[in-house]
Amino acid sequence: MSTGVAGMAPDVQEPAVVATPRRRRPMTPSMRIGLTLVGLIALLALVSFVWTPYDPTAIDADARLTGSSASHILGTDKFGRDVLSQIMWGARTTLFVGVVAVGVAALLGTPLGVLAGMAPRGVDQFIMRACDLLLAFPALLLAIMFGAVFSASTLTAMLAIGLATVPAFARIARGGTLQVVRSEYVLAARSAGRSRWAIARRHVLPNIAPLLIVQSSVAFGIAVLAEAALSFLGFGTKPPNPSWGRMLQESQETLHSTPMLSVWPGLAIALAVLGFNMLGDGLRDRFDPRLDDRR
Amino acid sequence: MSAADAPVPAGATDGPAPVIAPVLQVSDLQVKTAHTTLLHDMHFTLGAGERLGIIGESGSGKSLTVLSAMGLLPDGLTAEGSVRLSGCDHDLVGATEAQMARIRGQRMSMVFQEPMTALNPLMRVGAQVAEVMLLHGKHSDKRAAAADAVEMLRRVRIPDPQATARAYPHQLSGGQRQRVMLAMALSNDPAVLICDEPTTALDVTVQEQMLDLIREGVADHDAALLFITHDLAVVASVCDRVLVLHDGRIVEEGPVARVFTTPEHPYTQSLLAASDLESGGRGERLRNAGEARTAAAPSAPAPSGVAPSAGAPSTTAAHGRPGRAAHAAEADEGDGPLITVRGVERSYRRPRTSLRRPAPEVRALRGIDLDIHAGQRFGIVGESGSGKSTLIRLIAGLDQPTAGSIRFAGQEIAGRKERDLTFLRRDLQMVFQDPMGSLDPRMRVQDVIAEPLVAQGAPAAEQRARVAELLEAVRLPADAATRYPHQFSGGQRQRISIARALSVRPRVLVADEAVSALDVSVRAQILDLITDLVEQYGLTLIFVSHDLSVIRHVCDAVAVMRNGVVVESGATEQVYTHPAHAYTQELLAAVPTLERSLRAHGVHDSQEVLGR
Repeated sequence: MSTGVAGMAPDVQEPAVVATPRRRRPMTPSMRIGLTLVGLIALLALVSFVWTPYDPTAIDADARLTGSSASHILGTDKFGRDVLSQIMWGARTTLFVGVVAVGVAALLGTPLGVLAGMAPRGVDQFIMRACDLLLAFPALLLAIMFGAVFSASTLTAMLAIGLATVPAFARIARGGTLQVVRSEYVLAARSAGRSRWAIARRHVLPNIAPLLIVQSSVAFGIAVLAEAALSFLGFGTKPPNPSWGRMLQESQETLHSTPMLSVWPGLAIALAVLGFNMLGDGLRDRFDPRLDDRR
Repeated sequence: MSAADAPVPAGATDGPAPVIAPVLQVSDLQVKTAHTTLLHDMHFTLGAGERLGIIGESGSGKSLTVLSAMGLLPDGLTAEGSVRLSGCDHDLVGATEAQMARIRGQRMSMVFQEPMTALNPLMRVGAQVAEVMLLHGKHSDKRAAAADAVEMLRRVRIPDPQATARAYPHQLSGGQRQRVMLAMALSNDPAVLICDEPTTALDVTVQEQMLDLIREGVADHDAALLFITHDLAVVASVCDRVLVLHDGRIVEEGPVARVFTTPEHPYTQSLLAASDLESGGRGERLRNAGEARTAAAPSAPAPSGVAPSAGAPSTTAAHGRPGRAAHAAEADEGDGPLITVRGVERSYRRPRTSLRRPAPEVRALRGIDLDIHAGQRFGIVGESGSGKSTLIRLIAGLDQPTAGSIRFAGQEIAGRKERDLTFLRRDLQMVFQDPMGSLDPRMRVQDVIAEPLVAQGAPAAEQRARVAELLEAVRLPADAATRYPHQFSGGQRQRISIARALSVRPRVLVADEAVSALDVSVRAQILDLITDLVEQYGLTLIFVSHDLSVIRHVCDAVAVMRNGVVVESGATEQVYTHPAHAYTQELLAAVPTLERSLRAHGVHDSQEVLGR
């Protein structure tokens, strides 16, 4: 029973599995599918910066409602605009809206939640009740209000969606913070003399990050859907900028003659939302410590 | 009422009666993962009424043995070999889930370590006991089962079993929950009762009662007992035969009286030496108990570059402890105590349970007076709920007392804001109980260790140098710095905690149950390390534990706490040899010690006990 200085295991009595580096769980199928779909959309959006088959806003009166053909793979709309090009551009809009909305929500919600989790009861109650109030407003209603006040645009849509998602982040961050703050390592940090600010930054944030990442992915899916709905209603992206929601709305008039015109943007929206949700599920499986007890 | 009201079969209580037909026969049992074998060639037989103990440290495979016998191995592990249970015509290894379900809880039942998680929180305990009997057809009538459940609860001596049967698990104490578990396990007159560390989570006085109940229950039902524990004294007091497991192999087996007196295998010997906190003197090294008989002198020269803490250690024996370097009775405090606690009270308010009555108040501490002198090794001992952790959190300035005063080196701590306690943070550091929970899983070891230094604003270069020194001082390899806590074992993590506590060169080290979660041999190493470092750096030690033998081994003064009051305090030897307070006496009597247990096995010479 010598305590070797050289050896790494002077007193390892536990099974070797515990002492090995944290094993990465293999990717779940839902995560693979989610990653593929999200990757596909991101690829479409990236390619649209350098190349699209046609200018997505170019009107071609000779080639209206062509349906799928060799020159227009997904066909053209009633103005003769290429659908594939619009979908590619729309992916850009969608991702942009998602990033900004989720960013706003995370940047506002996380500090609020951490603050609520660490602050005295009064502050905590105030923040959380304010979140409840905000949560009582449907995101769409908020966006319509914003649109009415500031004239509807992609920006108002993004901000409204972001604000409406703040409570979700605040709640999750608060829950995680409460858990971390009760842990012995935070007590240890306090007894080491760390300030509350340092504890929040060094201990709380890294430990709740997985929760926030999962939440971001799920919120992204919701934001995509919300943006499509807003554009569909005319409170989101303004023409001529292509957007999946508006493509759906414009395709309504020709639903009987060329139903495929509404199928393509619909499919894009569905796949994007599905992708982000499955990615969120997969991330949850990967990060959730409660699923980690089988060592 | 109960089927087991028959008189106790004579002879079933004592010793291994000549085994006629084994009740449980395990042979060539192996447990494997996809890559490695965790349990090798396990074999034993258990006769009716026999009590077999399996001892081993965590990871030795003792739980795997019983889990495979019960068919409860976690996914990914497979058992090979054979486990035969009398009255059961198939092998338990490879039995289907349906076959196992018929056996579990009926022919073979189990008591787990954690009584809270093993009981269904949403079901009344009486109903849970009754369910087991209904499930296995002991009763077909719900009423009869409910009545029998109350009877079973009465037999495990639960006060007011009628009322308790209607309680939910969270309304019971840990000891009572464990009694309920035992009642469930015994309710179908099992042939084999398996207890997996049943008393590890319990206080000593409760543990003693629980062990009595297990012994009685097994005798009443003429069941064979398979008792798993890491505690040698407990095994000696409960079992007749013992099996020592190490790294998934049986290293030694035989009657308790033989194995614990003349252990043959070096591992058994080292285990005995490591558990033997009682017979050795205070401050003695545990690791090499044989050669360290005289090691009262300061040991192990300081690793290069590690300076002793504040000032040069004085060589005067401050509190009459010749032979040990006594320290740090520094000039600025004169002769007064370093820490003075006066009339400290702490109460908590529970959430309201009624609109009319005020929120109930819990008085965790009710008037504590203590003096801790510089250079002292001060022990605080008490059972769970005694307020010992609350007290040291107050001393460490992590919580505020409701009333009273706490002075550290002449400065008042009580009522100060945490940010005004920098002097305390520099001079007093803590080591916590849970080696898993007290290190941030997302920080590298070097950042963990340096955190108190960062808080003091030390420059980065000094931090790095200090981390390297400290890793050496706690005998961890230098490359540990860049790893994460989960890559270390419990004992290693506790070393990291100690290194961290020492990083700012404190004068006082507070250890809150610092070895309670560790295996005996690891515990011995950590205790040795703490005593060494206390010597080396001239620290004042405040050591909190529920374990009386650990306190006795480490501390020179002790305070015994109960229900938020110090019932007795004084020099350790005085308190232990002549306890004045009834509670201290009770506490001391309840601690299972090897010597006492072995005396019951007919072994008298204490030298013999230690196999020396």
